[in-house]
This record gives sequence, structure tokens and C-alpha cells, in this order.
Amino acid sequence: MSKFRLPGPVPELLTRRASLRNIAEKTGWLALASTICNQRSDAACDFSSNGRMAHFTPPATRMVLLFQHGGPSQIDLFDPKPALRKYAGQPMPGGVEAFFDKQDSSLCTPSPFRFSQHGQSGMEFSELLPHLAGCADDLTMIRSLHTVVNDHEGALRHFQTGKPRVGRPTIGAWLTYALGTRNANLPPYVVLSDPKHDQLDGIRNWSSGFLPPMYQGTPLRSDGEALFNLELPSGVTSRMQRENLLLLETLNREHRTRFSHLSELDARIANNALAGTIGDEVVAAMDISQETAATRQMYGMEHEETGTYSRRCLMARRLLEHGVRFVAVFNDEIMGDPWDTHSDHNARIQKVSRNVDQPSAALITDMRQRGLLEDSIVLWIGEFGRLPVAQGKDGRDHNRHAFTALVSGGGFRPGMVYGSTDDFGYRVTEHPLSIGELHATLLRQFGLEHDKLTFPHQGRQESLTDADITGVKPRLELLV
Amino acid sequence: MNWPHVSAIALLIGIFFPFSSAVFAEPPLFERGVREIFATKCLDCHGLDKAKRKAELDLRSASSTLTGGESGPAVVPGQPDNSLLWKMIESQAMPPEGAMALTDEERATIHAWIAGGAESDQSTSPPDEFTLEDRNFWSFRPLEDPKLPADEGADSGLSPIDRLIRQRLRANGLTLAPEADRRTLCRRLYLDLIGLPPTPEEVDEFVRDTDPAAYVHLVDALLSSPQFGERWGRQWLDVVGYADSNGYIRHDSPRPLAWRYRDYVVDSLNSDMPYDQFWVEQLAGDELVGYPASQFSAEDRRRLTATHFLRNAPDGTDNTEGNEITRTIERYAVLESQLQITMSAMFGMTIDCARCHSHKFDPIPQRDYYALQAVFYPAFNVQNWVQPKDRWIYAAGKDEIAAWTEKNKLAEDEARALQAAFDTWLAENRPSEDAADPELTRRIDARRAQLEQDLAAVRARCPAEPDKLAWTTDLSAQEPDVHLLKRGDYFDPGPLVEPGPLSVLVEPGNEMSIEPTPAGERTTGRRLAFARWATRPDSRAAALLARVHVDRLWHGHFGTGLVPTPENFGVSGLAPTHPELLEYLAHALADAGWRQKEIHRQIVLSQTYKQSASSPDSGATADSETLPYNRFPAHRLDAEQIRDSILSVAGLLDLTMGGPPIEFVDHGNRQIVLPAGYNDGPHPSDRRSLYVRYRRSQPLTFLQVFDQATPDPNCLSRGRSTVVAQSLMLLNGPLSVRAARHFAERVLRETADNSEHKITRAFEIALARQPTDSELAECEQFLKTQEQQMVDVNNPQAAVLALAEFCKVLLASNEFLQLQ
Repeated sequence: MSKFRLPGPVPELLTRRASLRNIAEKTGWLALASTICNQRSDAACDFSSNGRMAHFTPPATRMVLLFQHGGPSQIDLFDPKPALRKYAGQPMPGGVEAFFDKQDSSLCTPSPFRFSQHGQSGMEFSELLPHLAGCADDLTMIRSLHTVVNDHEGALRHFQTGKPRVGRPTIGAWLTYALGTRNANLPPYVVLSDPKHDQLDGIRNWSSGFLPPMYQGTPLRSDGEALFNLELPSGVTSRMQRENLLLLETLNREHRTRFSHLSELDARIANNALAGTIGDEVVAAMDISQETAATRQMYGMEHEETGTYSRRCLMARRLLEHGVRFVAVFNDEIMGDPWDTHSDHNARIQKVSRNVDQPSAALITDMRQRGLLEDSIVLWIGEFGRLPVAQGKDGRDHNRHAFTALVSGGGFRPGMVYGSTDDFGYRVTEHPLSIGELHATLLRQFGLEHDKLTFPHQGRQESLTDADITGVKPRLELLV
Repeated sequence: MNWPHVSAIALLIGIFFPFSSAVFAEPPLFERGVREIFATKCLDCHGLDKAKRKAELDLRSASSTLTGGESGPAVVPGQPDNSLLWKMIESQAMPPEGAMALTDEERATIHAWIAGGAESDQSTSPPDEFTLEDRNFWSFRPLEDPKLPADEGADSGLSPIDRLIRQRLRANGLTLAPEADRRTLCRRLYLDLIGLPPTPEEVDEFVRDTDPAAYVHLVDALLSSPQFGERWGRQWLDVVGYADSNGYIRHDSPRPLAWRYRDYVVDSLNSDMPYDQFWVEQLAGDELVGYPASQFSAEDRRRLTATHFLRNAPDGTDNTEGNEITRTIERYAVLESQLQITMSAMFGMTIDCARCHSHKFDPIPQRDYYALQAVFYPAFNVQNWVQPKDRWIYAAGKDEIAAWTEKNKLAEDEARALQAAFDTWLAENRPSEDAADPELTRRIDARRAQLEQDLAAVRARCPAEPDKLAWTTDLSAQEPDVHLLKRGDYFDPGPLVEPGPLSVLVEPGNEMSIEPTPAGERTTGRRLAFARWATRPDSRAAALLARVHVDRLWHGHFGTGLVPTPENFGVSGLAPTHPELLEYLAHALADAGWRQKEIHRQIVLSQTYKQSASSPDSGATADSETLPYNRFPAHRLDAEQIRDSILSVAGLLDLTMGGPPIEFVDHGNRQIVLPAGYNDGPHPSDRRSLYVRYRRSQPLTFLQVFDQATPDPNCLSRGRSTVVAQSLMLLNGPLSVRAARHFAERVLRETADNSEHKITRAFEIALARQPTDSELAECEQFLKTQEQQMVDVNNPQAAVLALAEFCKVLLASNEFLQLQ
């Protein structure tokens, strides 16, 4: 234990880690695949050492993140606040911390949407989410999340990387770094975002930060060519490409004999070979035409309102089945970041709900039916929530003090509502859960101790949760 | 003040403590009584060990106790009741629960010491904030005269670098490898010094040159080439986090004038500006110039442009949204990133941890962080912020600007008069609404045409608007208050802090002293004082500055530095693998008047550099962690070298230098490309990669895939990944396909139409060598097969296209991508 909690620098250890980092930087995940496929990478073995985690089989080996950009309004979707009606039209007692200035006229505004109980658990959902409500018994609803900043970028980074600053690896990158790949021919960390839109903070949403670049998310397009430059240039047939690859390998093998000490050359040779075959594998994994009409219908693909989000949800399931470790699905652009309803809130939230609800629910149901939920986690979360007061005429501003997320599978306790908020849905009153605690819990379900999963960077052992400063721990009550 | 209340408390204390101050005949000195108490009861949390120190409070000496911690001074001499230390003791908050409690007698002693004026024995010097070990850490020491091994034995005449390397090799039973062949050396020098491969003619010229000094001549020619500054300037731009956009916020707004700083860097390296001067200009060029002045020289322009260095940090405050909290956080973020860039680029130090608490490993107290922040705060005043879009000036003297304004005004007046005259005439000659008058219409048109002509003439006489340049300067000569922030909390200011440098590097003879700035100037002189402190000859600060930089240069030449952690020259970093060599090079830089080309020259002229890169038969590697330098360490080219080499080999590269960046095209879904298509000929975007606009949110996909630096906020050493996207890019991407075709056409132009010649020529162009017999046979077979395949599909250009496929394979080969 204390071996990893360094009171001061331990040069031998640091050197060893630096060398692990070198190895990692010099070889791609694809080239490394033969050694790390279906097992923890050397790096992960180092950190979750000596069978520390071997006393139980990790309940999760893969994960889908359904990221809800913009900040979904908890009091309109998940967290009913009938008491708010009493205060309708009155200023909020004690005021609110709003993101935008000059909201002097901010008055309490109850949700117009009806809530009802669902499933055997009686979990409450609003009428905006009929499909997710149907998954109530597969879901853990966390109503007591809170975050540290009220701006989108900061809160996005805080969720993805543990801090609001730039330059840190996302949780997907950490998991990939720790656990490696499960299919040598596919990227272990895939990003599926609206192909027509760059969502806020762009590439930082799947950055490997200070981890080696091979652990960053690989965006695959959900329309057209899945990966850039997969298509052969015009005039080049696949037979010709085979000849090209053959000559390239011949030249490289000849070159290799002169540099027998450079193992990175092998990695490049392997990657070239892979470049010839990866197309088939990616295309196969992403090919939703293989799905039955019933399945596609379940995801709502025939409804225009589900946009391309439905396709991405279905692709996410296929990618998990093909051995991808972590799929980050981002939602469709609908007037910018979909849930960021600073104006015309009631109309927009209905539209966004219709886009997101059915495909999200279908993914969970589909995964349960196929047994995937037994070792996979689905997390439905945004960067923060929204305020119980109106912004301007008909909007809602950001609320970092309380918001709701849904988790399914991976050993999370199904049918449970965890934590609660005050009468306004403004602040957490029971079981507050920080993002760091959520991270620690998620890592735990992958068999990883969050305070041991570290990487040396600029003189520190960096980690996702920064436990020696934050002191966070996994929240066991959330788990089965 | 409510006196009765106070005396009531005093009375209570008096009752509570039977040993009041009065018991002591004379008040105790810190060293007699108090120090012992603190030593036994308090120093676990308030002592030397900064990792364990709480609230930044150091109770080892009277002065450190008086200075206090993050809540300000711990003791007000003579006033125990107003002293935080006493309040904590009195309320029994300290020592904390579970720790050894103070006895009544000890409490009385402390009380008496404070009440008596908190005196200390001036004869004993207070313990240093730093231990001798801290100060003499290898990177913080003054430069030492390097101890060079004797130049003896059969292979005497070796340079100091080689003697130091050879000494280490011998200790490991290794020797220097033989010199690489001349073709390899030629390609190595070109790619390394100017970032471009040599042409076959350049290779031949060097190979045939029998002058023993041919190698030296080539080195000197390349060091004098303008492309030298482009290749090595790129390294500097990584280090300082250069970008053409502001980043941070969704807008990622442009920095339309940043390129002037990029050109300043290239020019400075080309002119071999001394490295110390380079820093003084970047940190405080404005304070050297005294802007605004009547006249504006080229030198003024250069120095003011240099201050854009301080603007490289991400700065989203052009577009800040939200409330005061957000604004404050974002402004501090700029200041913090800028400080991180500055300290890592200058000293290889990570000081960010010290923002919230004293550095756990390095001798950097939290106070230092804010003292450094205070150096830059007058230019980046969180309370009085200037947005990046407003941080620019005309690159002109007051006289020129006044003349331009005046002439401009005259022209405007003239234009207005012309327009008014026309309008008046028109009003008098307005055609009637119901009767068309072709003659009048003709006259109006003629008059209008005349007006346009006259206006154009006026505009032509008007001088052009002076150039704009983006810069940094203090917002006022008035010194702002800078507070230490408790635990780094922006909204919880602690005591005021004076500007100062890294205190572990301060020494007698090199304290940072701020000169008063001349009247009328708007700067505080803090940055200039800091720059002078950092570059003071023979100082510890300058020693570290030199070590960090020569390591960077070594890294650039060999692909690996002498310090395995270039971002961390501190205690938690790794020690140099070749400390004597690092020391020698740092010395050499200072001795050369800080001229960097001398270091480049010494490195590339060394036998160590000239060794063959291929594996010796023995394959001996003494230690896998440390490069033994028993061969030249072959390494993959960086992103810019790869793209520039591809363009160069294809004969497409446009060597135009400087100016506004080349624009990219965003194909959506993070495919950022240059506008030249698969079938285009030479294109205006075929310039060196350094000139492609770097927008943080839209990095050029090609460069990014090959590990271009990501300036978040800066990049001290790039990764070197191997991913399948690289292979796909080189096999199927638009640049490769287009370049391969042009490469093939070049081969056809330059050689006879015979496959052996074509293959040989392509090898010479791309790899600076001829193919081996077996390679030649393989390649000939390849050409035949590919050509036949295209004939099979009736492609009329089968021969050319087959050759283009061959050229593409060469451009994707490991040999092409590697410096060997």
C-alpha cells in the first residue's frame, strides 16, 4: 500500500515507470495488442499489483458513455419537485448562483411536466422520458451529483478528466491505459459524435492528456467512411494495395535488419499490415445493416427525431460486442449543445428528449437482452444540471450544485434512487456525490484502485481522482 | 474599540494562566525557551518538511514565525491577543487533537515571548528556508568548471563532447561506432539542421568533396541557411506554446498577429541572437524600448514583437461568458498558464503545485509562486483586465502615427468635400420624376464617374495604415496589490506578496532589484528586473537557464535529451544521464556569449554525432534506460519534418518565408486538411508546416497524427507514437497520393526511361542512397506487376501510375521517416 503513496521521490520506481511510458509511446495499441489483448497491460499490472484485485472478478470490463452535452434539467426529467409550485413566481429564498449575470428577476419556475412511478422499483420519471422510464428496474438513478464549476468547458473537463483544467486524460483514456485493448484490430477507445457538428471543447472530450497519445479516443464517423483515409485512392485497386503493402514490408524488413535495436520499427511494420485489414474490421463493427428491422425499430431509427443519435447508440452496442473497451457517444447538435436551454426551455427540452430518450433506452434494453449489461456499464450523464428559477423569459441557467445521472449494469444497484435534493432541486441534501467519487466508483467496478492508477507527469504521480488531495473514495452504496 | 471587553478577556487569561508574563524577569528570546517548545510540539506540521507543512506556517525561527503562513503573520509582537498563533493556542485549537498538548508552563512562555515583543537573538542567523542540500541540488548549483577527461591515447584529438562520451563508453566496455557513410551523414545533417532532405546533387557534391574540411563547410553552410531558423524555431514554438488562436473557450478566437512573433523567433535563431538577450526581449522587450516614443526603429519593432511570448498561453477572455466568478477564474487561468510556460521554458521547473501549497518535492514555497505571479501581474491584472483583442499597437513612432492620422484626416475631409459638392450638384440637377431626360442621365453618370475617380485619387494619396503588432506591456506604472491565495482559492486572499524570483536561486550578488522606470513610461520594471536576474552572468539562475537550454538542443539533435525529464529539472525529475556533458555544454553556451549556433556546431561536429546509427554486430546495450551513445540514436522524424520532406521530394515545396499563416480547410468530423486536392499541381499551401495556421481546436490532421505539439499550455517534449492512422495517412491520404504523383513525374523528368534508372533515381531523391541489388530486383518486379494490373483495367497511364505507387511506398517507408 505505502509502496505507492510516495512520501518523496523514489528514483528507481520513477525510472521504471518512465521506461514503461517509453514503451507505451513507442508502440501503438494495435502493435501492443498481442501482448495486452484480453489482459491488463503491463502498466495496469504494475498499479493494481500483486493480485490485489484478484479476489473478485471485476463486474465491468467495458463501458458506454452516453454524454448529454449542455446540462440536462434534472427537475424536468428525473427529480420531481412538487413543492416548487408553492414558490412559483417568487424569488428563490436565499438566491441562486447563476452562470449569467443580471438575473435579478430570477423567479422560481416549477416544471410543467408530469412525473409518475415506473417499474417494480417505482422510480420516478417525467413524461418526457417514457422509454427510459421503461428501463427503471435496470437503472441506478443518482440525484445527488454536484460539480465544481458552472461553465460548460470547465464542467465538461471536470467530468471527463477529474479537473476543470485542460491537458488531462479522460476517464476513457485512463481505462484504456489501465486495461488495454480487447480486440487487436479495433481502437480500444472509440468516439461517436454528431458527424455534422463539433461539440463543445472538441477533441478535449477524448484527450489522452499527459498519457501517451495511443490512449486517446479514436473518432469513428457514424456516416460515410468510418475512419479517414480508409478508402483506397482512386485508381488503386485492392490488389494493387496488396502489392504496395508487400513492397513496403519488404523494404521495411530490409531496413529493420540494420536497426535490430529499434523495436518501434516492428510496431510500424505491424501497423502498415493492419492498415490493409482494419477497414474490414471497422466496417464490420459499424455496419448496422446487419441488424434486424426490429432492432433498428427499437432504437427509433425510423423516427426522424432520433436523428443520428439512434444510429450511434446502436453502433456503440456493436462496437462493445466487437471488443471495444470504451465507447463515448455524444448527442446530436440541436440548436447548439442540446440540453443547454437558456431560452425556450420547455419546447427545447421536449425536442431533445424525443431525440435522446428512445435510443438511450433501447441501448440499455438491448444490452440487457444480450447479456452485455453483466459486464458493461452504461452511464447517462451531462456536465451539470439546471436551475429551478427561470432565466429571462423562458430559459433555465446552469446549476452545478445538483444534477442527476443514470447508470446501468456493471454491478451498480438496479432500481435504486440514490441521494436527494432540497425542495427546489437546487442543492443536494442527502448523499452528495462528487464527480471524483463517481470516478473512483467506476474505476473500482473495473477492478482498478483509483489511487493506484497513476502516471508520472511533471514531477507528480497524477491520477484521475487525485485522491491524495481530494480524499475521494468509491461509493459502495451504489453497488450491488 | 471596546476596552472593558478587552480587559475582561485579559483578566480571564490572567486567571486561566497562573504563570502570566509578569512571572518572567525579562521576556524570553525565541532561542531561549520558545524554540525548544516549538521543536518538540509543533515542528511535525510546521517545520522543515514542506510536504507535511500545514497552512504554510514554518515555526523554526522567529522570523519565519513572524512571517507566518497562508493566513498572514502568526505573531504581532507585543500583542498576544492579536496574534493568530496565540489565539490558536489559547482556544486549544493548536496543537490539534491527538497531538501532544502544551503544558501550562509552555503556554505561558509563548505568551510571554509574544507579549515581550517576540524578540530573537540576532546573533544566531535564522535557519534558511532551504537546506544546503536544497541549494546544492545538481540543477540549482552555479556552473562548475567541467572536468574533462584527458585527451590521450591512440584516438586523441577528440572534442570535449567526445571525450566525455568516450569516458562513459569505456566504463561500460563500449566504444564509439565508426563514422556513418557520407551519404547518410549528408542526409542526417540536412534533416537535422534545416529539416529538409538534401537533393541528389547536394549529396553528390558532398560525397565528391575531397577537402578534409568538407564536413565542416557543410555544417557552416547549413547553420547559415535561412531554413535553419525554421527547423529550430519550431522547437522553440513548442516550448513556448505558440498558437494562432486563443483557445480555451468554444470560440477559440483567432490571434491574427501571432505570426509576427513566430517570425521573430525564426529571425532570432537565424541571426544567432544570444540566448540571454532572447529571454530579456521576450520577457521585457517593452521595458527596453520605452514605448511610445517619437521614433520607431526596426530594433524597437523586434523587441516589442518579442513580448508576444507572454501572450502564448490560452486566453479565452475575448469571449468570456457568465458571471464575475467565471471571469475571475478565466483571467487567473491566463496568468497561471503564462507563468507555467515561462518557468518551464526557462528553468524546466513545474511550479504549478505551489499555487495551492508549497511544493512537496522542490524547494519552492507557495510564497514564491505568488512572488513570481506579481512579476507578471501588472501586465495581466485580474482586477483591470485587457482582452487579447485589445492588446496591440501600431508598429510606428508617435510622429509617424500622428502624420498618418493627420494625412488621413485631411484625406477624409477632402473626400467629404468632394462628396458634398457632388450631392449639392445632384440636388440642383435632379431629373424630374415623370419625364426621362437621357442627356441629364448621361451628365449625372459622367459626374458620378468623375467623383469615383477623384475619391480614388484621394485614397491613393492617403498613406497606408501602419502595421499592427500584438504585444504585452504593463497596464500602468502603478504597482498593483498581489496577494497569496490561500490554498490557491481566488476568492480567499492571504497576505500581500512582493514581486520576486525563485528564491532557491537567489544568492548574494544576484537578488532581483527593480529599477525605477523613467517618468512617463507605463511599466513597473518588474519583468525587466526578473529577466536581468535570470540572465545575470555566473549566477545560479543563469546556470539553470543554460542547462535547460543545452539539454533542449541535445534533444533536438539526438531525439532524446540528457535529462530524461525535460519538463522537470527539479528534485522529483530524473538526474541527467551524462551530468558532466550537460555541465560542459552549459558552460560552453555561456562562454560563447550565449550564441546557440556554437552549441549546435560543437554537437554536430562531434564524433558522437557522426557515428553510424545502425546496430553494431555485438548489439551491446549497456543499459536500456540510458542511451549509451555507442551509435547515433536513430529516431523517427517529427511531424513537420515528415510533411516538409514529402513536399520537398515531390518538388512541390515553396520555401517562401514568414508572413500570415496558411489557411486550412475543415472537412468536418475533425478532418482538417490543406486545400490542395488529390489532383492539384503545385499549390500556395505547399509551404513549410511551420506556417500552417495552428488553431487549437482544429490542428492539421496530418501533423497531429504524427504527434505535433499540443500547446496545453506548452510542450517540452513531444510524444512519438506509432498508430495505424499514420499508415493510412501515408498510404491513402491526399498529401501522399498527390506528392507521389509529382515525385514520379520528377523522376521521369530527371532520368532515362528505364526502370532501373527510375528506381535508382527515386531512391536517391527520397533516401539519399542507391538501392541494393535485391531492393532493385524487388522494385522492378513491383513496377511490372503494378503496371500490368493497370493495363488489365485499361488505364492508359499505367506506367506513370505504377511509378507513382512505387514512389508512395518509398515515402511511407521506415527509412524515409527516420533520421539515421
